[in-house]
Amino acid sequence: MISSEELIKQLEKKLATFSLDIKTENIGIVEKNTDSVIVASGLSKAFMGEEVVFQDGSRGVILNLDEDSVSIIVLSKTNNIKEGDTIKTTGKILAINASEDLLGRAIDSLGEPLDGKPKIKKNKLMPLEKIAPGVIEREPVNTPLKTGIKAIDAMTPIGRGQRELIIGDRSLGKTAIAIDTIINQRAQKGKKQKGVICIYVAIGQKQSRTAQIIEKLKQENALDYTIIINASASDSVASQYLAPYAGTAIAEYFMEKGEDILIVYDDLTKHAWAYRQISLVLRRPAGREAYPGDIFYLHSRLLERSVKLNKANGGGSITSLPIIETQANDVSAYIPTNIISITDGQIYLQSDLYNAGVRPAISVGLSVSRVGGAAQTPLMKSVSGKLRLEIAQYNDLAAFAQFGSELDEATTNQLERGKRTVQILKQPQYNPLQEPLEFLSIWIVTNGFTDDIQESQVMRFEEEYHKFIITSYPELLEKLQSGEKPNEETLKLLKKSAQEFKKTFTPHL
Amino acid sequence: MTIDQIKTLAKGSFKGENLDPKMVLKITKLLTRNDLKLYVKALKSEERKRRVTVFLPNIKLSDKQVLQKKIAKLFPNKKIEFSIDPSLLVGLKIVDDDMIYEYNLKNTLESLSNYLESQYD
Repeated sequence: MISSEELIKQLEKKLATFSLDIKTENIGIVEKNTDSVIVASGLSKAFMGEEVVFQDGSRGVILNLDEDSVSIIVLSKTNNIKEGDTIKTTGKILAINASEDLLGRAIDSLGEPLDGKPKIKKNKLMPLEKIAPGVIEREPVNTPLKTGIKAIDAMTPIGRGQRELIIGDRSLGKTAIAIDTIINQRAQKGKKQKGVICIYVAIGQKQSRTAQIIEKLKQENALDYTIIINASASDSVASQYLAPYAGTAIAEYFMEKGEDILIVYDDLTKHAWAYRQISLVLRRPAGREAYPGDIFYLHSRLLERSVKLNKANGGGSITSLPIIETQANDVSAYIPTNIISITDGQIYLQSDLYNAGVRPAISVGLSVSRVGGAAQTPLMKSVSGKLRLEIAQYNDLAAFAQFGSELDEATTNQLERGKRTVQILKQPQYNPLQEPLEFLSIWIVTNGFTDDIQESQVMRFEEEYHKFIITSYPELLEKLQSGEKPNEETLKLLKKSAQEFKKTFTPHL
Repeated sequence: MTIDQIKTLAKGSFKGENLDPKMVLKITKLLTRNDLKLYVKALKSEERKRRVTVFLPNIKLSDKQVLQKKIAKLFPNKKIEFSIDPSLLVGLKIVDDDMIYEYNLKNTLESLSNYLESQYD
């Protein structure tokens, strides 16, 4: 309940800025309502992207301006708009309320809470559509964003401000990589670098799946620094179309405050489908695979807003992990090729690897990070080159060895080492590792300490080695924590620890 | 028939401020059902463009004539119509095609109420 003094104060404030100018309004009349896309006459002063209000209070956005009519997408869930209803322009472009209160909340594309908790307090309105920062405001990617996944942090490192695509067929663990990355940001808090605020945008997903993700994040204490934006498969196409822009607008609010943000778009294939549906109802000319001509711009203008700002502009960043679902591993389809060309690299998941038990099923040869190398720590760099080379050699030799010809000793050794390297890169879901432990795993395998261990025992060897180091060599972990390249002394300590551990390790028969 | 041609026909169906019934009859005889539909739509739109409606809470006959002259100066070549809307309380509202000009107490109070609502949402 508002107190009398407060109410009077508010009225006085309004009176101080009271305008006696004539208020002008531009109105229109609904001519047609097709699947939540309205065609209206009038509205001669309306502009593209302007928010409009219908007679029943529903909101809409103008998407097409024709000679005699305008096309509007309805944003409200209920659609009671009839032919002949009036529409008013608002003079505003679509914006979302952004504030710190959003952390730990689940909202829809318009900022309305979905978690049953109280309404989010009004703060700053951030426009959904905004031109990305220019070159002067940016700086190159230079700070790592650790995913906690060995294969990614070592071979396709991600930097803050980068756009790294996660691509693959259905059910190969694309979302799992994104969720693990969000969970790993908890461990990064309070370290040398600042913590990362995470935004998970679910587009066209099943409600049950999003609920599971929220529950998992809650269990892992990762929801406190995460915002969920949900435009499920049952929501309107307008909501699905706007969801990634809403997420980016909120990310920009935090970035303006100098924060680092990680945003996951799960997934942009369904976003493209939603936009295709809108475009076809709007009768825009259909192009390849029935997508409209501006489908590339739809995603490029979204992903271009992921940026690393320079110190003069606050030094904040938005790192994005767009997800794309392919059909039958076909990366040459229209939407996958578009996004591959927009992003700064891709993590490619392969069904063959997944079926062979390699999880995460990351294809080392096809995955790439174009800018992340600059953000990798010297510690990780010291082992990643050798790792990549060994995996590449193993893949070549493995293909050759299939012919069954006799192999020399060196080749056999290389194949055996490769098998163990593949094993060490396996990692269970929801178990992101800190960089020193990732380093230790890669270091022991690339330095031959697992060569005499059975392939099936490598993962257990790794796990027990981690425990051994945590309990017996905490000083070594402390040194590695700095991220510096290991010096002679550290290398000696590493060798000593590995030899000592091997004596205690009992392989199961 | 193209839409542009139908629009030209609709424009030509007016004599001054009003529709010319002879011309309209002549045109309708020549049109197909679909074209007729578009023609009626174009006539409605043309009629809206040529008319200005002034809403007032109440009005005396002497005031009406003064107001009509003033509004006719603001909207030349348009038909001025007056309508009574007591809910405006004080002031007036002018509707010119798809534009609305509001200068009345009802609107002022509404904007004040919206402002307060937005502050305590």
